[in-house]
Amino acid sequence: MNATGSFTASGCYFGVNTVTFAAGSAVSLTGNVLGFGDVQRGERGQCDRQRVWAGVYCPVDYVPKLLANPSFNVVYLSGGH
Amino acid sequence: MTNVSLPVLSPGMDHYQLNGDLIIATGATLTFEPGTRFYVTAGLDVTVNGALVINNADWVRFHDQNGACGIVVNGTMSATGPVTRFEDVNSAYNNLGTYLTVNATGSFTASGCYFGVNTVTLAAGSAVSLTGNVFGASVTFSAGSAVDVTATEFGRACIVQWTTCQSCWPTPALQWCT
Repeated sequence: MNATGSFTASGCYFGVNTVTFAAGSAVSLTGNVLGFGDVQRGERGQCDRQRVWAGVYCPVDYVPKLLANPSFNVVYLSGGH
Repeated sequence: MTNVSLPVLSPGMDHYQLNGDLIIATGATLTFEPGTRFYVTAGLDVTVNGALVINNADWVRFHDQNGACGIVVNGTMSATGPVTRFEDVNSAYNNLGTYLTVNATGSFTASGCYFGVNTVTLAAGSAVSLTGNVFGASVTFSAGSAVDVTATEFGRACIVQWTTCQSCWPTPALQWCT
């Protein structure tokens, strides 16, 4: 979600690898679940699927917006003032 | 940033990870709620000009491979255990240093915590109250720092000038800096 974006979600499951909320974006989240993201990794002709925890990227100020949205794994804080 | 709390968002959550320098502005408070885990990436600082409250968090870890990192206190920091551990998680390879520095204007209160960063520096003029903590770190008390270290255990402490030591227990192996 870029700075000019607006994102509202409730009761959803997000299995993508990363969710990013830029500073300035308007975000409203209620009762969502951020779970696993499945990625396919190929190496030397072999492919397997791995389950990778999804991560949320956001400014510190956005942490209160994540309340009541269970099963987050790592929340990456972009710092700031 | 105004006043923000970092709680454990769910049982599935592992930790918060800082990916950019964080400055807690004057008048703002950042609170780590019980059980929170907070990871500081190499080369980054948390600068406390307002207030940092660590309320029985699980751990605060600093990864200093290829970049020193730590906490700098110009305002107020308080840490309350008994669980909270401040740890250096890269002690072997290209370790550039982890630190907790309380500057002259800073106030630092801690009880029941473990400090395993490389260095803890308490500058002259800082107000410090330590009770029942364990320091694996090298601690430097600078001249004039008002320190109460009740029941605090030190691995190694270096004193520039000791001004106040009340009820030190067990007797720390303190030495004057050379």
